[in-house]
Amino acid sequence: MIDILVAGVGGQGIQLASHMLCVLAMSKSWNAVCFDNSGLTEMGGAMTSHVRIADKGEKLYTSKISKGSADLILAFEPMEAARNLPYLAKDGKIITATSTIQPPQSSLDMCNYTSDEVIENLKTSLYTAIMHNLRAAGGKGKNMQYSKMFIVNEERICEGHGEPKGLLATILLAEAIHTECLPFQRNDMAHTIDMCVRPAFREANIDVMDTVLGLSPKKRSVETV
Amino acid sequence: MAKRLLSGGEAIAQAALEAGASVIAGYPTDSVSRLIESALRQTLKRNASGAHAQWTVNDKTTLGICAAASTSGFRCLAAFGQTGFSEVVQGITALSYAGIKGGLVVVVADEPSSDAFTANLDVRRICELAKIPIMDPATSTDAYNCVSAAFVLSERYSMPVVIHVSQDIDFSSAFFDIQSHTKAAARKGTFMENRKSLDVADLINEESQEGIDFTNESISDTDARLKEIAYKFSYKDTYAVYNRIYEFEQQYEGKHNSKRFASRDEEDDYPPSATDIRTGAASVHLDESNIKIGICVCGSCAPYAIEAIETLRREAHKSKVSTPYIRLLALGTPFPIPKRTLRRFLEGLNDILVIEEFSSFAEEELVKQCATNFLGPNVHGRFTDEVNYNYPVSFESMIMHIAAFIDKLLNVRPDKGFFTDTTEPDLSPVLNLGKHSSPPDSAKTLTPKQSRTLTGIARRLANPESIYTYNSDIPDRPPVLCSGCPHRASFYTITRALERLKISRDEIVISADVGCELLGNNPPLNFMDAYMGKGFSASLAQGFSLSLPPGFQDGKCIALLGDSSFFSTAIPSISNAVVNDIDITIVILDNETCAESGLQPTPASNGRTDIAEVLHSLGVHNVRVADPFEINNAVDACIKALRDTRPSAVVLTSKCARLIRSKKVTYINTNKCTGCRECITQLGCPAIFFDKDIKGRKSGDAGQAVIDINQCNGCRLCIHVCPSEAIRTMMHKDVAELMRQERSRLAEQLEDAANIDSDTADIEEGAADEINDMTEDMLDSAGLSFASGSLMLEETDSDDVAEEEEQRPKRHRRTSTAKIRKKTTQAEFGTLFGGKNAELRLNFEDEDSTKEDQDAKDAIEDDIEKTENDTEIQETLEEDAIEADDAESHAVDDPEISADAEDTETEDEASKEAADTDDAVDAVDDTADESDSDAK
Repeated sequence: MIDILVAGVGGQGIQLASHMLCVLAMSKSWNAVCFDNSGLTEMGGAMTSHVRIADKGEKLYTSKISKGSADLILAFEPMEAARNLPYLAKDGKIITATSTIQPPQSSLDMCNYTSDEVIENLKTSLYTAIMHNLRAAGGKGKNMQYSKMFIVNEERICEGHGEPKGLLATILLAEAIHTECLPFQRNDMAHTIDMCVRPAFREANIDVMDTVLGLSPKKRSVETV
Repeated sequence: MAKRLLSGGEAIAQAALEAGASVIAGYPTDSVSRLIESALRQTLKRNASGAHAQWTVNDKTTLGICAAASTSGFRCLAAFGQTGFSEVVQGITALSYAGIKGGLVVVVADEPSSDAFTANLDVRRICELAKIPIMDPATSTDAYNCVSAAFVLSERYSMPVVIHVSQDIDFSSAFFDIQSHTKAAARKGTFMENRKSLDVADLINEESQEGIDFTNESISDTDARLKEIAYKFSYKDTYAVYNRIYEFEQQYEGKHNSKRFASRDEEDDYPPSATDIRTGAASVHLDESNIKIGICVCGSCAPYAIEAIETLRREAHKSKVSTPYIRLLALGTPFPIPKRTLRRFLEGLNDILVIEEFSSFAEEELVKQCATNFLGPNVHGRFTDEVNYNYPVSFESMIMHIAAFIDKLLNVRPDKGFFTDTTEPDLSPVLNLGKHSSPPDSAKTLTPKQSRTLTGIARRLANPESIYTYNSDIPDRPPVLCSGCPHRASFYTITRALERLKISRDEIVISADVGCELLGNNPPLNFMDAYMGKGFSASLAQGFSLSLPPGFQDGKCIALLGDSSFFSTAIPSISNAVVNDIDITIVILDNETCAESGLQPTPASNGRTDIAEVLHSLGVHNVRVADPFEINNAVDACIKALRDTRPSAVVLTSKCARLIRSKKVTYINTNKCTGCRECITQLGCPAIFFDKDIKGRKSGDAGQAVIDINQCNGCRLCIHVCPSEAIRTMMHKDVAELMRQERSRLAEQLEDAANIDSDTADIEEGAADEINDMTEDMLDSAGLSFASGSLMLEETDSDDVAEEEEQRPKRHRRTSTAKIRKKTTQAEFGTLFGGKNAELRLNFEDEDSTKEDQDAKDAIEDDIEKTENDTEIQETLEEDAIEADDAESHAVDDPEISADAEDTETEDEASKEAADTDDAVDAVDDTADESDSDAK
C-alpha cells in the first residue's frame, strides 16, 4: 500500500495529479482511492488530495491518510510541503516544486517567503528529525530508512514546452517514477497522460515527462537531498 | 461495462441513471456540483436515453420538478446541499404524506465542520421530523449500491428516500464498473392515472391500519410504513447490508473464539436489577473471555472505525498486549432505526461506545433500546463525556477514543483486567484531540507501563514519535478571490464611491450573500459585516436600515448579492424593500456564473434574463449598470445609487476571472515603484507580493511590490490603484520570455564569470531576434498550457483577440526597435525577480570590475542620469495620454504609444545593461546606431 499526499494551492492542478495517480495504479490493476478537498479551497486556498493505492489483496478502508503515514508527498508549492510535513512517514519521500505562491495575508504582513528559504528550512527540519531518530535508535539505526527530498525546478524543465502551470502534475509524477518513489514505468505514465490529459496538451506533457525521466537530451534540473 | 474513476457524487449520478432515473436536478452548491455535472455530461453525450438532467434556479424548484415528475410516474433524483435541504423540508414532509409514484431519491450532501460557513445540521434529525427514511452509506461504493435500493424502497412505500452523503464520500474517488449506456425505467402511469391514489384528502380520511400487514400493497399510513421499513432495514438483505456488524475476536490471529455468547433472555438475572443496569454485567464473573465491547458508528465513520480497530489489534498483538472481543456496528440506515439490528448488536455486550458526526442520534437510539428492552450494556459516548464533539471524524481521533475506552473499561474491573497497572488512563488527550487542537505531546514521555496500554499504543499511532515538523512559521492560506476577479474591482469601486461621498466604513453596514463575495471578507478588503446564509443579505440590509442608531441618518446599508443568489432567493426581499420603501442599496455582483460551486450557469448567463430589467420591474427606482473594471463609470453609478434615499441598485457586470484567460499581464517598473504597498493593501490580489530585497531608484531600501506573471490575469485593476504609475501591461509571453532569458543569462554569467567577452553579447543579440519572431506556435502553446489547468476555460477573451489582431500589423514597427527593448526589460527584470538574483549580479560585478573600470563606469552613469531626465518628461506626457484613454473607455494601452514609451526607456536601460558588460561606451554607440538605422 502506498499513501500519497498531493499538496498545493487551489487551482494548481492537484485534482488532476491525484486522478492521474489513481489511473496509474489502475494501469497495474491495483486498487486506488483518493480524497480531494474541493469547494472553496479551490480558490487559492491550501489544498490537499489524499491518494491511497493498494496492491491486490490489500484492503483500502478510508480514503484519508493519517499523520506520519504518507509514503510520498507531492508538493506543488514548497510552503505546502512544509504545511503537510507532519503527514510524512518515517521513510517517506518528498517531491517538491520550487516556485512559490504567496498568500495575500503574508504580503500584507510583509513576511513573504522565498522558495530557497522554505526549502532550506525543510532540509534542516528533515535533518534534525532524522538525527533525533538516529540518536533514539542508538546503534540500531544502521538499517534505518530515511526520508528524502527531491526538488524539481519546474520552470527550467518546462522551457520550450509551455507554462509550468499546466504541466506541473506530469512533472512531479514523472519525477516520482524516475526516483522510484512509485513503482511504475514510462509506459504506464504515457498511458495515464493519454487517459487524463486532453489530446491537445498530450504532446507537451509527454515531452516534459521524457525530460524529467532523462530520456530526452535536456538537463533534468533536479536536486536531491 | 467500463471501469471509471468516479467521485462519490458522480458515482451516485451514475447509479441513479443505471437505476433508470428520468429526472436529475439540483441547485449549484459545491457539494452537489459533481453529481449534477456528471449526469448532465451523460445526457449530453447521449449515454443516458430518456434521462433529463438540469441545474435549477433554487432548491424549491428542484424539489417541485422532481415531485411532479415522480407523481407522474418517473424515477427522479433531487440533489441538495445541507442548507438547501433544510429550505425544502416543508415540501418533503408534504410528500411523505401525499405519496409519490415513481421513485424519488433525495441526495443530501454536506460538509461537517467545513470552512464553508454552513451550519452543521443533522440530516438524520430532519428526516425523523419529516418522517422519511434515510440511508447513510459508509463508503462511495455503498453510496453507489444503495441508490437502486433507495429507488425500490421509495416506490414500494410511496415516500421519498434520503441518501445522506458526507464529505468523505462526496469528495473521495474510486473505480467503478459502470454501464456505458443507461436507459430510463418505464414510467409508472401518468399523473392523470395516479392522482386518485395520491390525493392528500383521501389520505386524511383513510383510517390508519392496525398492526403491520406485510402483504398489504397499499400501505398509506406513514407511521405504519416507517415501521415496516424499519423491519426491512433489519432483515431484508437489500437494505440490511448497510447495517453491518463486524466481530473482532480476542485473539488477533488464528483460532476464533467461536463460542456463541448467551443471549440476554437465557440469563438468570432477567430482568436485571437496577445496579446491574448501571454497572453493566458486573455480576458476571469477569475474565478475559467474558469482556465484550461494542462500538457503534454511523455512516462514513465506519471505515475509520474498522481501520482503527484493525490497526490497534495488530499493534497490540505486536506489543503483546491483549485486546478484548470487539463488536462493531456500522449503522447505515439511521431512520427509521432498525431496532432488531440494534438488539442483535447489543446482545451480550458489557459496554458500548458510540462515535458519530453531528448530533448524538445513534447514541440516543441505543440508550432507548437498552432502556426499553432491559438490556444491560452501558452506553458510552458524548452523554458520558467520553467522546468529544469534534468532527469530521479522523483516524487519529477514532483510534484514541477506542483505545482509551477499552483501557478505561478494563481498569475499572478489580484486579481481573488484563493489566496490573492500576493508574487510570488519562482521557484528557482524547477529549482534546480535535481538528484544531494541537496533538498531545506526551507521546514521547510515556512510562514503560503506559506504553503497554492500548492508549499508549494508540497515542503512538495517532501521533508518531518520528513525526516531522517544519521548524519555522507556516503562513495561513485561506481561500482568496482569484487574481483578476471582478468582485475585487467591485469592492474597490464601492470603497472609492464611499470615499467620495465622505462616508466612513463605520457608518455603513454591508451584508453579504452566499458565494464568492464571502471571500471579500478576508483582509485587506474586510468587506462584510453580516452574513446569515443564502438569500438573507437583502433582508438583513433592510433590518439594519430600519434600526440605524440616531445620528446615523446618512448611514447606508448595502446588500451584496451574486447573480445566482439574486435569482434564487433575493427577489422577494428586494420587492419587500420597494413595497415598504426602505433605504437600502443593493449591489449585484454579476459574474455570469456560479463561480464558487464550479462555474455553473445562472439565469443571467448568456443574457437570458436581464438583471437590471428585473430590478426595474420590481420597482427599484435607481438601477445602474456598470462594468467594475471601468472604475470611473462604476464609481459614478455607485455614488448615484448610494445618494438615493429610496431602494436603489447597482449591477456590476463583468465575466468571472476563471472564464477568462488574458494574454496580457501587468508588471511593475522597478524604477518607478516607490514601495508604498498601495496595490497590496488596497486589493489583496494573490498575484502581487512584496519583496523587501528589491532596491529601486524610488523605493530605496523600502522594498518593492512584485507581480507574479503566472498568477496575473491582466485585469489591470492595480494600474488604477498605483499612485506612482509604476504598473504597466505587457503580453504574457513577452514577459515570460524575458524572464527566462534573464535567468539563463544570469546562469551563464555565473558559470563563466571569469571571462565575459563580446561573444556572449553576440549570442544574446541573436536570442533577442528570436523573441521577436514569436510565432503562432508559441502563442498556442502558451494558451494550451493555461487551459490544461481547468476544463471550463475559454481559450481567450474575445477582446484580447481583437487586441492581438490590432497589434499584428504594427508588429514590424516594434520589431525594429526590439533589440533595444529587449535589453531594457532584461535589465528591469534582473532586479525584478528575486533579491537573490540581484545579489548574484552585484557580486559578479564586484568580482569583475577593476578600479579602472569603476572610474569609467561612474562617468557613464552620470551621462545616463542626464538622458533619463529627458526621457522621463517624454514618458509622463505619453502616460497622460494613456491615462485619458483609460479613464474614458477602459481602453487598453495603445500598443504604439506604449511601444514608443518603452523605446525611450530603452536607451538608458540599454546603456545600463552595457555598463554591466563593461562595453559601455561602445554599446551605447551601437544601440544608438542601430535604432537610427532601423528607424530609417
